[in-house]
Amino acid sequence: MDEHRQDSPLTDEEVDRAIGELLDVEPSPDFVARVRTRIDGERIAPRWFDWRLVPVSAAIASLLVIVVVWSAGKNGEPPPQPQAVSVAPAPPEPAKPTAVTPQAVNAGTADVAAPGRNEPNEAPPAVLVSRAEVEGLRYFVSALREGRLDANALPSESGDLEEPMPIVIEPITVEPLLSAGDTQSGELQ
Amino acid sequence: MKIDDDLARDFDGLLVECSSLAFRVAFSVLRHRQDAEDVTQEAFARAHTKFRQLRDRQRFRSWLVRMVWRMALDRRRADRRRTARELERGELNAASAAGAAPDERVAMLWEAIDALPDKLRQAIVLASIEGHDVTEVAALLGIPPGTVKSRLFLARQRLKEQLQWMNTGRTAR
Repeated sequence: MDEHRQDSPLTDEEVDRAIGELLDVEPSPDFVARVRTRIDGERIAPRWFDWRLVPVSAAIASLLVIVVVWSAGKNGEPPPQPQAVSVAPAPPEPAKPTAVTPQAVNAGTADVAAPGRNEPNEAPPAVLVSRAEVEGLRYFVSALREGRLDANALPSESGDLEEPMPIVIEPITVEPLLSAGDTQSGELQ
Repeated sequence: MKIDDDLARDFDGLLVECSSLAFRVAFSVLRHRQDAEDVTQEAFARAHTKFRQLRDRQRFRSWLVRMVWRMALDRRRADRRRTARELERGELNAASAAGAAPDERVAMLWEAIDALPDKLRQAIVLASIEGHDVTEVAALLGIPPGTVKSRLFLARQRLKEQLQWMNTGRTAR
């Protein structure tokens, strides 16, 4: 830029050279050392958070959850319950009395409250009825529907009962214990 | 551990290689030695934390230059008063290779560079530092060489006009 004159236009080279001279500066000699020191300091400084710990922490947390759930399931196991059979409505197609299909007794197989099951049940509580009683009732209902059993032949609720004997209650007479004359004479009976 | 050692060695090599360039870029914006060193140091520290994520080591220079430029601009915006104070003191050209250049001429040149739009200023500064050619400037800025050419042309034109006008105006006084 020294050689440019006031009346002559500057060339590109002159402009570049002038800027180059302007920016021909170097950092202080210890600059690189200071940067190194700073970087080393940051590397050594403990960091409260490290991304590398994330998967390890997640694995530990998952393991803890599994252990807690497992131990809770083991401790909270309900005591064994008696086998319960829910009385299900009769199937649309009546089953033969001799062959009891699984569907006819599905309440007795699927709905049996097995011990150890701790699942919430939205269904109404099962009525405890013995399996033989359930099968007998079903057989009876199916026999009635198929006409194998005459409903008229069955005893009516009160048809074969004898008329009840009328209850006769004798009138009770109450006699006085003491007469008026006995009281006046002062004698005790 | 070996990977960390290799990374540290790579980074240290790049630190030595690029420290002057980064410092000059910061200085071109801030025009203050200490500020430029602070910003450059900060940029290196930031680059170090993200160095592991940089897959292409060849792009470190351009990555660093752009980061230094951005950080220096932020710093200048935050500290405009200080820059103006240093300009008045004439401490800006302490290391000029031309020796004792007149303060007035230096101030004029800085003023002309400052008047340039940011993109033109970036291109002309990088082209003037370390004699970068168009291809190198394009690589540093991550833009096509044709764009660098046009930016350099415009920047030189404006600088010449500005300097001519300043020179004429001051000598006429």
